[in-house]
This record gives sequence, structure tokens and C-alpha cells, in this order.
Amino acid sequence: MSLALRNLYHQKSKVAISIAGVTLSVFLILTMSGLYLGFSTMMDNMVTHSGADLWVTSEGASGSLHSPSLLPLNIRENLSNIEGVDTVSPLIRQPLSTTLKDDTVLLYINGYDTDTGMGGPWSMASGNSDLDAGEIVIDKVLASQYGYDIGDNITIEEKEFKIIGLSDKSYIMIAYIIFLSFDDAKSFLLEGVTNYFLVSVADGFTDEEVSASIVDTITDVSVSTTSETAKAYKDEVIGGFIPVFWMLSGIGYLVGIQIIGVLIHSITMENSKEFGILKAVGATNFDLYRVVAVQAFIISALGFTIGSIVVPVLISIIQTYVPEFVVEIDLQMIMQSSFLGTLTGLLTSILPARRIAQIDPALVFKEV
Amino acid sequence: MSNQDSHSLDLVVELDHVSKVYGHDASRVVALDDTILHVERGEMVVIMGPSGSGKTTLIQIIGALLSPTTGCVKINGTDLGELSGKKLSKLRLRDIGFIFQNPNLLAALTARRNVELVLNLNGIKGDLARETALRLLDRVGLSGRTRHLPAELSGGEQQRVAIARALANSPSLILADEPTANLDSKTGHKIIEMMKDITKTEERTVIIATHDLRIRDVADRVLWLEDGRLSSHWSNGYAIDPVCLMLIGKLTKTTSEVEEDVYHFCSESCMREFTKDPQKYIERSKLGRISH
Repeated sequence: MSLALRNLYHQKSKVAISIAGVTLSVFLILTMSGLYLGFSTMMDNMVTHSGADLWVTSEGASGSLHSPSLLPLNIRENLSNIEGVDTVSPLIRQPLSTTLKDDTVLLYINGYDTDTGMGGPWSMASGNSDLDAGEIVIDKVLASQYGYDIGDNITIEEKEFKIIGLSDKSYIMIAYIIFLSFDDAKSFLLEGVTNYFLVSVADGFTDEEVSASIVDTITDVSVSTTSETAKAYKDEVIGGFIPVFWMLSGIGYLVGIQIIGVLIHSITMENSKEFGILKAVGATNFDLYRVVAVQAFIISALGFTIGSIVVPVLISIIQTYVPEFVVEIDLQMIMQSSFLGTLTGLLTSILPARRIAQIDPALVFKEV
Repeated sequence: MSNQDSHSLDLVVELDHVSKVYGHDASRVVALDDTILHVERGEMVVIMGPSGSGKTTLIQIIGALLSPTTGCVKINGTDLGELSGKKLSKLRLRDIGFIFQNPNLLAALTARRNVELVLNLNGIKGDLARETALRLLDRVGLSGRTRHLPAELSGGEQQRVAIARALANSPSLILADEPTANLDSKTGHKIIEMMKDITKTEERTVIIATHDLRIRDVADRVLWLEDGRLSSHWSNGYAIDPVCLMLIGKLTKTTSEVEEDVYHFCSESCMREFTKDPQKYIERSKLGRISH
């Protein structure tokens, strides 16, 4: 232990560069995992904070964000009359490519029933969400990028709205969500239709029972539970990116292994003569392997620990200046990072084992 | 000599008909040829010979670092040929202390830690290891330099740390390969005295392979190794550098002629030194001459 520590201390600058490299690797791993978690949480929030138990769509529509669901508004009353239905609210979620300050922007219009509040903003950064006609809540990233603030007016497709609040966690990688009252949002959709009906289930009934009743009673509709809809949202928006997330995280991890591996190999090579001395005076291959393993473990542990502390702080600072950097880090990720650190230490210490076994103790008789 | 005889003589080292051959066919080199060597406890044996004569090979074979091609090597009665790699490591750790031409200290460790490390490998840890290391460093006159790294010590001090390290596990046998080669004459002399003292006061067996004729004076036995064979006489193909008293081949090109006698030098610097006051060195070399 002592020799391993002192060897590392003796090569401080090399160790410091390696730890910095491992920290960068942790940054890549945590950022990729954090982006996944960030967008996953956001998609989840869009559905689970709606206050609905069931999501009614046109038949065959999956209930996902991009679903081409269109339902006639006049079925609202039919839905309300079904046994077990407590509340029914229409919800418009409609993408809109528009121009803001000479820039083409993709917005998601979220028009909700302000009376029930179902499907309204799930997290506010500032201002309020009690929308009246002609008022709007816009995503805070959109506000910061295009210079809008509470009290300003924003013109969307020649319609002017007054900004009364800024929402948080409503930037979905390719689009910004804006919140309008259902009546204001109707002007962006065909007359007499909505995308969804959000249904809350009355006490004493199960989601399955009410879902079955809706499908039996109203033709050409599909019903999904909130958890099914959340999954559909996540699968659609993030699903395509998952292989990329994991691939980049994997690359980050491989970079970490590579950095530590190169360092440990280089230290082992540089210390070949010293290992030869130790062998000559009676150290076994196992004694030397232990020294290398402890060195690898210390660098991995230091790199991953420093990375796990520094990276969340770094991400938080970046988010202050780049709000669209939607990264969420939780304890589980940090624990996983620590586990990877331990694994890396073990893996990289195996690499020079063969080299150690080959070191000839007779090296010590050769004059340098 | 039978095992029983060996023990009655208290032999620490027994080499019986040991040969070492490197390479095959045209590249075949016989480093040791049917060598027999028996060394008793408390004996100091100096092995001399020109470069490439097989001295280092002999030390490596006695030190369980190299296997002989044929023959039997025993240390304290244990046949090395019967031991596994791991047991050979243990034997080197407990029964043999090494002193190399270069001190070969670990650069990242202080003088004390260099000595302690060998004790730690032998399972001696904590205060006992620390106290033993400090006592040994005091023994070699380095009590004030225990916290220094090798780079902060002179060559002679480093070699003394190496001696302390060699003594750490109280081995019965000390093997030294050219221990004074990199030291100036005064420091070299101190190291020789120290090794002599260790041999006599601690009853350790010491085998030294060297070119340094000064060591000859303190040895119980001087053996000459040439063409892989040990003998108690040296051949006529070698000369003594009159300045540093090193044994060198007569084929060296650095020579000087004084009153029809040719003197050979190990280096240009020794030759320059000689030319400043030839008579002084000629007298000295006569005093140190080995009888044929």
C-alpha cells in the first residue's frame, strides 16, 4: 500500500493528468446519463402531473406526443356521463413551427382547461399559471433565448399573448412548450376538435373498469392509463436516442479505462527495474501485482470520486448559462459511477499483470 | 562431498559441478564450466576476473536468480533445484542479502522505507520494522539520513542503505556484485571495511564479485574466474591499473610506457592522473600486486 502510494506521489503530475482525464470521462458518463434522465423525467412530468387517470385518444393513436389523435369535442358530454368518470377535460398538444423574432422555432402548444387545470404547467420557474383569455405561460429556456419576460407580449402566428409566467422543465430537446387556455389554443387546431380528453376516475372505480366502459360506450376511441401514456411519450421522444446515450456513456467509460490503463502500464514499464529489484530481494509476482492493483484502484477511486463531486457542480454552473442543457443527476447515477470506478481499477490492474510476471530480476545486475 | 560432510563443515554455499551455457550451436557461450565452490559460515570470499568471465552469472546462480544448465546448488543445505519459484523468492528474502553495483534503491521511498520494505515483504511490520530499519541504518552510519530519498543521498550513502537493506532479514549469505565499482576510492574503502566488519562480527557469509583489488586484502579467500572456471591463480593476460588498482585486460588501448615497462589503465582519466606523477603510482601498484 505504502509503496503504491509513494510511487503515485513520486509521479504527481502524471497522476494529476490522469485524474483530470478520468474526471472528464465521468463528465461524459454523467452528462449522457443525466441527459437521458433529464428528458425522461420531463416526458414523465408532461403526463403524470396532468391530474388525469386516463387519456382518451382517437382509435389507434398510441397516446404519444406525436400521435395524430383528433377527437370531436362533442363527445365530452358522453364521456362525462359514463359511470365512474369524475372529470373530463380536453387537452390540445399540437406542434407548431412558427417564426419568433425572425427565427424559425418549433413550439408545442399546450391548450388546457383552465377550470380543471388538468394538463396545465407542471413546474413554474416564475410568475403564475392562472391563465385568462389572451394570456400565456412560456418555457423559461424560450424566454431566455428570445429575450422574453413576464409582462411582455409575444406574437404567435399573428396572435398576440401576454406572458404571465415562465414554466420550468418544459423544454423537450427539439421544442419549447407554451401553455394557453383551451379556448385560445383552439385557434391553432381544426374547428370542433381536440387531441385528448383527460379523464379522472371517481372513487370506488378502477382505471381498468372505466377504461373498458369508455371503449364500450364511445366508438372510434382508444384509452390509455397515465402510466401507459407516460411510457409512450418517453419511448417516442427518448427511445430513438437511447442507443446514442448508452453509446456515448460507454465511450466515456472506455476513455476512462484507457486513460487509467495507459498510466498504469506506463508506471509499470517505468518501474520495471524497481519491480526487478523487488523480485531479486524476494518479492513474489503476487506482491508486485498487489502494488499495481492498489495503484490502479487509487487512481480510479480518486478520478471517479473527484468526478462525482465536481461534475454535478460543473453541470449546475453550465445550466445557469445554458438553460437548455437539461441534465439531471441523481444519487443512483453517482453510485453507479463509483461502481464503475471500482470496476475500472480492477480491470486496469489486470493489464500489466503479464508484464510483471515477465520482469527478469537479473535486470538489477545491469548497470544503468 | 556428502550432505553430512557439508553440515559438519557448516557450509552455507555449495556449488557442485555447476555449468551454465547460453545460446546454441554457433552462438553457444559457456559462462560457467563444471564449477565447484563451497563456502563456510562467516567466510568472506572474493571472486575476481575480467569482464565477461562469468562473475555475475555465478552470483545470480548462487542468489537463486538463475538456474544452472547442469549441476547442483545448495544454500544452507537446501537444493535450489527442488524449490518452486515462490519458494525461491522466500529463500532470497530470508536467506540472502544482495548488494549490487548500483545501489538499486526504490526512488520513491526514503532510506528508512527502502530498508523497511524488505522487512515488510517478510511479514515484519509496524514498529518492529521501523525500529529494525533505523538500527540498521545507524549501523551503517546513516542515522541522520533516514528520511532522505535516494536522490538526496550520495553514491556512498546509497550503497550503505543498500547494505542495510541486505542485512534487514538477517540473512546468512550476502552476495555483492561489484559493490565499489561506482564509488570513489575513499568511499569504496569505507564500504569494504563495513562489509569486512559485517562478516566478522555477525558471522555472515559474504561472496563478492569484483574487479577491485583492494577487496582482496580483506578477504579470507580470493578466487579467480576465467573462461567459466574458478581457480586460486590468475592468468597473465591481465594487469592492474596503477591509479585505481582495478584489474583490467591487457588489450586495453590506454597504456603508458615508463622505463620500458608498459602500464595499462581502465580509463583516460586514470592515465592522465598517472602521467602527473608516475613514480608515486608505480610504487603503489607494486605494493598491491598479486603474486602469480
